[in-house]
Amino acid sequence: MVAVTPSPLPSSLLDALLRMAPLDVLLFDTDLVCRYAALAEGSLFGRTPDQFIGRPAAEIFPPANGDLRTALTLAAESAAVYNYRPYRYTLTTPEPQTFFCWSVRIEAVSLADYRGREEFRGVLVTLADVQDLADDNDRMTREVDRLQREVSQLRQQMVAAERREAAHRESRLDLRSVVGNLLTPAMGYLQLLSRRPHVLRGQPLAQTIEEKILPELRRIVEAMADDDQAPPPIGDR
Amino acid sequence: MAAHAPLVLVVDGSPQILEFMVLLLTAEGYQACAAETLEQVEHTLDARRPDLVIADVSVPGLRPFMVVDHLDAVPRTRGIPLILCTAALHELRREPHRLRRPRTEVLRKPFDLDQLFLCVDRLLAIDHPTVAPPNPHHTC
Repeated sequence: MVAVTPSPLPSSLLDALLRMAPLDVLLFDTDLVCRYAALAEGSLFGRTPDQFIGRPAAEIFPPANGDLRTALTLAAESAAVYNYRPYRYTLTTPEPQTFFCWSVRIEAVSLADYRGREEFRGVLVTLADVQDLADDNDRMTREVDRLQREVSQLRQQMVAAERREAAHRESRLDLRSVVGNLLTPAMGYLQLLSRRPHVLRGQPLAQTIEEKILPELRRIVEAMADDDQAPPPIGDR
Repeated sequence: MAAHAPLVLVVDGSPQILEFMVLLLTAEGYQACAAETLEQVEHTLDARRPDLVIADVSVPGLRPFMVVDHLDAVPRTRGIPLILCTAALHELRREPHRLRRPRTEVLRKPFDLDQLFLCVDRLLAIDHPTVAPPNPHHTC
C-alpha cells in the first residue's frame, strides 16, 4: 500500500483554530509591527485582532507598563527566547486600570517556503491568562509565610518553655539538696537519741533538741520559704 | 580512743554535719577529723593519711567531686576508701563513672546511722581485715 501525504490544511482553518485556543497569539515582523493576531477573548485592550494588525509593538505594549517591548526588541535582534510565568501587566488608560496576568512567551521565528527560502522572520508572542492561578499562588504563598511565622513563634515558645522547665528542675534539685543537708544532723541526733543514747551521755535531752534539732528544722522551713519567694527563672520574666 | 583506731576524714560544707559526724565517729571509737575547705583537706592529708574519707560530692566553693579528684591526684592518697555522702544525687547521675572508683560507696543524705557504719566497716575491712569494729555498742 502506498503512503499518501495528506494535503496541507487551509490557512483559514488554522486561523480559526488559533482563535479558538485559550491564549492570545501575536506575530510581529522584524520591525516589530504586528502582522497577525489571534485573541482568546476576541479582543485585547479593547481592540479586535484587525485593530492590532499594522500597529507597532510600542503602541500595543507602551513602555511605561512593563518590559515586554524590550523583550520583543531583544528577541527580534538576537533570536533570544523569553518566558515570563507569571507576568503581571497593568494597562493604564483614562478608565480605571486593568490588571492582567499572563504566562508570556516571546521568541523569534523564521518561516521558510517549500523551497527552503526564508519567507517570514519575526517575533511570536503568546499570552495565556493565568490571573486565577497567579492569584491562588500568591494567596498560598502568603498562607505559607503566615504558617511559617506561626511555626517559628511556636518554636520560640517551645524553647522558652523548655528553658523554664530546665530552670525549675535545677531549682527543685537544689532545694532537695539543701533540705537533705539540713535534715542530716536533725535526723542524726534523733537517731542517736533513739538508738545510741550513750553518744549523747551527759547532755540533757532538752538541750539536744533545742540546740541540734530544732534549728535545722527551722532552716528547712526558711529554705522552702526562700524557694517560694525566689524570682522566676529568666525565661519567665 | 585506741591509738590504732582508724582515722576517718569527714569533708562537708555544713559545720553542723561535721560536728555531728565527729561526735558520732569519736563516740563509736574511731579517730575523726573534719574539713570544710580544700585547704583543710590538704592540711589533714599532709599530716596523716586517713584510713577512710567520708565526703560530700558538692561542697560550697568547690566544683563537684573536687575533693575526690584531689585525693586521686596524689599517689599517697589515691585509692583511699571513700564514702560519697550526699543529698546531691543528681551530680552522681551526671557523672556515673565516679561510681566505678574502687572502694567507693554512696550514702544518701539524710542517712541511717546503721547503714553508715555498715559502709564504714565494709570499707575498712579491706585494709584492716583483722580489726574488729572499735566500739561494741554500734550495730552493723
